[in-house]
Amino acid sequence: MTEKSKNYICSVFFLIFGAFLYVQSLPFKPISGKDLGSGFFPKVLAVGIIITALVELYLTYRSNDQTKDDPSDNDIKGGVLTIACICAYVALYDILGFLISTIAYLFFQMVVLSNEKNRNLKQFAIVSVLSAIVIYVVFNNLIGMSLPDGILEF
Amino acid sequence: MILDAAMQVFTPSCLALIFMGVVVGIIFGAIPGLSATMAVVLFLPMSFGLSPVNGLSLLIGLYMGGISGGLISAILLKIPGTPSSIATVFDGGPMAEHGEAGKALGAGILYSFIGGMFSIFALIFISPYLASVTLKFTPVEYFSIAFFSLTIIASLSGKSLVKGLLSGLFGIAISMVGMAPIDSVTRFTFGNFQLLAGFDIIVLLIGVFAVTDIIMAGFGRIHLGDSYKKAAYSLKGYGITMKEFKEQMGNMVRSSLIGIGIGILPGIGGNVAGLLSYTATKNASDHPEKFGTGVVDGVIASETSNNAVIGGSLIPLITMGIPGNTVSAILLGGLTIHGITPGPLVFEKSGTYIYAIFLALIVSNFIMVVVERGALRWFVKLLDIPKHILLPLVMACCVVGAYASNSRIFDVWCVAIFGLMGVVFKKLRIPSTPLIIGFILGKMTEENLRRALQASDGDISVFFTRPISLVFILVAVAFVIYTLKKAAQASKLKEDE
Repeated sequence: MTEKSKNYICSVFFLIFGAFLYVQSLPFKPISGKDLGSGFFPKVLAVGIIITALVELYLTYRSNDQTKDDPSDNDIKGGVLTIACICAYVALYDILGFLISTIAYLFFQMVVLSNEKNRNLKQFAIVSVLSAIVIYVVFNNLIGMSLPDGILEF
Repeated sequence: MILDAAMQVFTPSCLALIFMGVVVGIIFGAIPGLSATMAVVLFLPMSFGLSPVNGLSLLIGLYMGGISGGLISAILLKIPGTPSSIATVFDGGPMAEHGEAGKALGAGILYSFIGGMFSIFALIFISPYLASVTLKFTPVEYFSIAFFSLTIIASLSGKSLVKGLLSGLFGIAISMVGMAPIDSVTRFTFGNFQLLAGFDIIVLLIGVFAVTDIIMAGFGRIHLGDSYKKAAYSLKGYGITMKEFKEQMGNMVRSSLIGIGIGILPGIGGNVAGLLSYTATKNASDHPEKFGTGVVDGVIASETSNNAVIGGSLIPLITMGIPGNTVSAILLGGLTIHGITPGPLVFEKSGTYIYAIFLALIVSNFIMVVVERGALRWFVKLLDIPKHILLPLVMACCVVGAYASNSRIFDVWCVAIFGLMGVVFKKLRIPSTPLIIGFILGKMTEENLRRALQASDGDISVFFTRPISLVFILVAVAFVIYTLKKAAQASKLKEDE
């Protein structure tokens, strides 16, 4: 994607966001006569966003920046797998509990981020288990802040 | 009274408590998601069981350590351990990438100490005078300060001023989620009760600064192995030569004064102080274009001023009972539980305890500079951990930090969502620092604007007729014109090339 296309996406997104914010702010009316009300500031902000987005749109229209990203920084598979690992970790954090979800997340994330040369599954497994236990003990036993036990709760 | 205080502070038990407080504080400060606030909150119940001097000294140690520890992760992991260290990342991160992690850490620690000392002396000697000036501040002045602080977005927008502005406005919009100031009307929660209190700053910071970087590492995983180099560094003393120390004199004094000033003004905090000092130093510098690429000036500005906030924030707390930030609000609780009522008469009624606090501050500052410097090589060793192992561990700490801030799973989800939002921002080349500034200042701006206009019956001339407010507004306008002029010059230079 070129810089110009990115700038178009950015301006259109903020235009829509500004309009959405303005519409959402309409129902708020001042409670007392002297006050501006809770809708005033969001409306001013929404107008500010719309004007700035229009300026960005105009500048993009006039520019001719065709620079493209470095393709080596765009490993879609690596990015999507990382996002999947994080989302799965967050979703299972409460259900499986801190220990199991963290061990699983650490292991799979290390596998995703490593390459063939430095992939050492045994090392990843040991580091995952030990660090999850250390964090759990520090929080649960030393600091006294309980982390979710999930299915290990009994 | 001073002698009495000294006899109570310089006992083995009190010194051990201060030492423990500083060490635990540094660890809390260094771990992203854990903050000085959390450290002080966790140890507050413990301090009640101790004598007043011992209990307060422990809390002071935690506060000092917590603020100082943030620079470690800001430099080594490019994640601010505490919100106060946001500006340290800008140059500390690139310095570590260039193999100057030791120097960045050394300078950061040394200037944290100096900033801390400046503010402690300000607290001791000029607090009564400064406190009387802030008594005159009304919402009008606070709005003008917030307005002025928002203009720093302009110079922290990187290459695109317009995108920076959009990011800042978006940050203000996020800050409006939850209950509105003054009338507590629920806004933009879409029926979700979890959003009633709005988003936590810690959660936003962890998401945008840490989770985004981890996801981006996934997109660039091909480079993870080869970009990893063991940071070779040699460090003598604090990494700063006498020549550099002399050169940084102006930066040091300016940043200390900004830190103390921001600390005194309630509700602003160390994060704004760091960013303001960074911007001021950048604008005053002969080489502003080098800022953000790894110059020590940036680290010094940020670290001097965020530690200078400590003494500054205690000035209104002790002399007027007004807490300047969250930590001082918790300290206020600590003082009252021990029977100390802050106010203009505190020196007469509880003089011994107040002098004990001053001494504890000085002692904890010395302990901080020795402990952090002594353990520096262990901190730098963090860089030796391969990134494909370190990044997942950082993510686990982020999730724990997000969960620990309010003990709710909702914050963990928010961290992931803000992380994804940060990725979209990065892909579209929208700077994320203005977002944070907008978020921090949004609520303060709205609240004070509404209060000021309520008091003046909707007359906006009040912002221009009150002298302090007028000065801040004029400085803000001048600052924006200056930044626009500089941006125009830079783009003209680019076109000529």
